[in-house]
Amino acid sequence: MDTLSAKDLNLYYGNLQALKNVNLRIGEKQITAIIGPSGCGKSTLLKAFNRMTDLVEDVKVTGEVILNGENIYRPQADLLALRKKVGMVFQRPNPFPLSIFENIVFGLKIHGLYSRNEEGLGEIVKKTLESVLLWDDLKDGLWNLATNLSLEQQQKLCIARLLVVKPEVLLMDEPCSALDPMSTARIEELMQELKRRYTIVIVTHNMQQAARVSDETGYMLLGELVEFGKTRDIFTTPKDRRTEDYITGRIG
Amino acid sequence: MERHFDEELNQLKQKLLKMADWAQEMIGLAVKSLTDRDEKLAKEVLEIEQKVNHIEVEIEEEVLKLLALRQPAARDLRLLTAILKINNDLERVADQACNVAETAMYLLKEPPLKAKVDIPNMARLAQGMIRDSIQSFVHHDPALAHKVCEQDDEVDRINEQIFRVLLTYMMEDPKSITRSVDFILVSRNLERIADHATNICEDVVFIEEGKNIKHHIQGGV
Repeated sequence: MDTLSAKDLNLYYGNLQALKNVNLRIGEKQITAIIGPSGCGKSTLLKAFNRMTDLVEDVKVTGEVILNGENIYRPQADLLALRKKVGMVFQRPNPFPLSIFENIVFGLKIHGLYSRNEEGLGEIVKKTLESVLLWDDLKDGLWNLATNLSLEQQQKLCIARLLVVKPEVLLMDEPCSALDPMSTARIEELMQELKRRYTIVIVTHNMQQAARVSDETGYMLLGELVEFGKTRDIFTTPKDRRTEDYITGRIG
Repeated sequence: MERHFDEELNQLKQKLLKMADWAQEMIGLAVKSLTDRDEKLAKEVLEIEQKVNHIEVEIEEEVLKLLALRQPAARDLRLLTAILKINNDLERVADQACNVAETAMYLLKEPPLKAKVDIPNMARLAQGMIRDSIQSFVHHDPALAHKVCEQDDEVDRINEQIFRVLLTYMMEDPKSITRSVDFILVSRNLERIADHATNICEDVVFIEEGKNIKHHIQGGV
């Protein structure tokens, strides 16, 4: 079953149409990469998956984004619950200027999942940091300021901050573009671990990254989803000439 | 957009074409040395083989370099992996031509065989298949590639026919056995050359259409 899909999705910023009749199904518990040149609509598509686009003024959406069988754009949709289920990681890591511990439990608090049992909370923080491979590095400094961590650690912490509220889908918008190659490699390894439990959609400018980490890839151009398929097919035998030109470096 | 990478691919293709020219020349000379009983031509074949071996290594190194540095995808990736295989096929074609030349040098010392075998016709076919396979590669012509694959059956048929003729001949005249076996081997060498042409054409279809047609496997990779 698909966790997430888009059906005839159109999105306008004022008069500018940023998404043109996008239809796709995101496979459950796998990594889907969206690639395309700047301004093609890939980040917009990602943001439309948890209605981050609502934050932009004068946005109009038609069509549907279906999460677990329900359209997230239906009038009575609960945005807080939506963003708990569909979390987002950004280009620049953005931890709160709080301690590592507080960063992780923050989500629990705002979603009312906070238990008064401090011991239990410590256990949750430990488990969560373990799942993003940070526990061994940070266990002795949980009350240190998160903004003092390395960028790679900050990015992992931001992922941990999402995981603690038990999401289903992780959206990643250029999650490695601020990181060096070694950090990038470790985040990519982490993504492979995470896809056992979560559905991941990643937007990236780095085509080798899309090729390395994803199971399926979509190529977007001028708001249109030009081609979508298994990553191995897209990178060896793309069907659309525009996809071919982009991934062989002829345009973009 | 013209890429610097395109220029590198072009130079690589030029090398492959030069290699293909040599391989074709070797087939022609080797068969002529056999039919004209001319040792000089056979020796020429062996000389050209040195050049072929040399350029084979150069092409292989160049492909590895481009794979590592350019990290090609899609058509570029199919092209480079196909060049690697065509390179190998052409080197084997050159080897087969050498085998024919060496057999020719041995047969020079023996009286001519009277049996009528159609080696020159078979050689023309095989040589033409190599030429057309390379043409289909140069001109991005998968239709021509498909046509070459079909010709392989004709070469197989002639090979079979030559074998039967020489088998009968050996039974009638045991003194001819050594020379007859040599001609059977030459026929086999030419049949192999046609097989390599078929391989090259399969690679051309893969580059152009992204379809693997080897062993009649249908569909994509």
